[in-house]
Amino acid sequence: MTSTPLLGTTLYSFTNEWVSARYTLTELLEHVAAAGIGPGVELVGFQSIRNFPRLETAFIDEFHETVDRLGLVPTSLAANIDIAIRRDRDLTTEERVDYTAPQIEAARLLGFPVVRIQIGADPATLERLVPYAEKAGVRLGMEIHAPEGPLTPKVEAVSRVYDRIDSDLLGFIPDFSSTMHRISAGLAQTYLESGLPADLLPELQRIWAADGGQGERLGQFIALAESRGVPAATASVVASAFTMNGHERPEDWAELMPRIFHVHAKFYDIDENGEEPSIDYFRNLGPILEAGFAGSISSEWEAHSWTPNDELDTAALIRRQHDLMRRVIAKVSR
Amino acid sequence: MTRPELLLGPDAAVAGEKGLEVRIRQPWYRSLPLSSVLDVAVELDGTPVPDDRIRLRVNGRARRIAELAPCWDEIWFIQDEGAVEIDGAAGSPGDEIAVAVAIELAPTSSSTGWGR
Repeated sequence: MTSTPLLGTTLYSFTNEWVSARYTLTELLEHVAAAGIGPGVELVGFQSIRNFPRLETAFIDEFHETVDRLGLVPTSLAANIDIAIRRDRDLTTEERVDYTAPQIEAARLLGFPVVRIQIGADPATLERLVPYAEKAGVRLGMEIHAPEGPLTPKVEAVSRVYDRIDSDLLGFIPDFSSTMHRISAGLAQTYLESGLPADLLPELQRIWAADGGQGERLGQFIALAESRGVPAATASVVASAFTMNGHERPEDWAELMPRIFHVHAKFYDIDENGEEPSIDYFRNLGPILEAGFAGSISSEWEAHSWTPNDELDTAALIRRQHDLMRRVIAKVSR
Repeated sequence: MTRPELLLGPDAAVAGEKGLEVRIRQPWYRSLPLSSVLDVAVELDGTPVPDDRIRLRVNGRARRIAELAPCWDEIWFIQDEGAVEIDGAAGSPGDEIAVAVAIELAPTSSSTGWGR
């Protein structure tokens, strides 16, 4: 290995601080820079930018001035392919293109080289977006998030469409939520708070880790819970474990090279040994690096969903996760 | 998935022009179109408030919940508080009121284009 990836942070990690309006965008970028969890910075357009994807000149100027002043590097702008914004019907292909193209243009205006797209971009939409990406000079990375994984049927279908369209601008963004080895402890704790008996947690972990589709495994768990007198309504709180935490094989990410444009380094916690207890970073990140990935990596802390606001220590956690990733990078580089 | 404290702050209920106002945020991570707000239900001191007395004020405009459905091209910015206006609810500064607000949001994305 001669080149190393660029570490950074997605502002999505600061969702709780953001939605309670603790920071303006400029202030949050300053916080990221001061905490040393850049230099890469990713943001979700519909989270961080008012009136997105319409950008005012003053906003564009302030963003450039801020990242330049702070030494930050825009990496990925997360777009949303909201095909279900209407109540009466899904957006047509034409409307999906019209909805997404301005988001691609926003990436160009703000200096982001990659646009995160979602699996809501069906084949026809993808093909029609390529000319917009060419014009803007940006690459489109489809995020692969739980319950999908590197080689699940939907993602293999995307790969085949990519083969057919044959554009260097179409690729992937792995998210390590797909390739975990246990349910995040914090997520499991929320189930206990919702009334799931604690003695069912080991059974949940066992069924979660077994073979079978997510719906099938969830059904098995609910049946087991009912056999122990727990109502299905109580047991179904665990559905999110099957949709948000995937157990695909981490090494398979490398199969997607050289189409990996950016990585979402999903994490929930860092333990006293500096490890992510539910995501093996050596098995997830190592093979991607060995396959030659030298792009950008965003730390994506997602335990904010259940962390009380007064216990947030987001930047410190991300620093420790960066340390973990540096250990993986150093091991691969040896 | 977002914590309840992010929906309703400690000083969320205030006396407004026409009655009581409850300040809320979207319990989500990003801005959504108004069409994504499927329902807003309010209870005051344990009593449900009828829909025709409830309006949601976002972007400076108050609408009944049923009027939100066609507003798929108007965004509610995630950092902006919305106000639930409750017509005729008596309230004056200093009153103690137990307020419960439930908001139902619809997902905006789907992966149906890839089969399975």
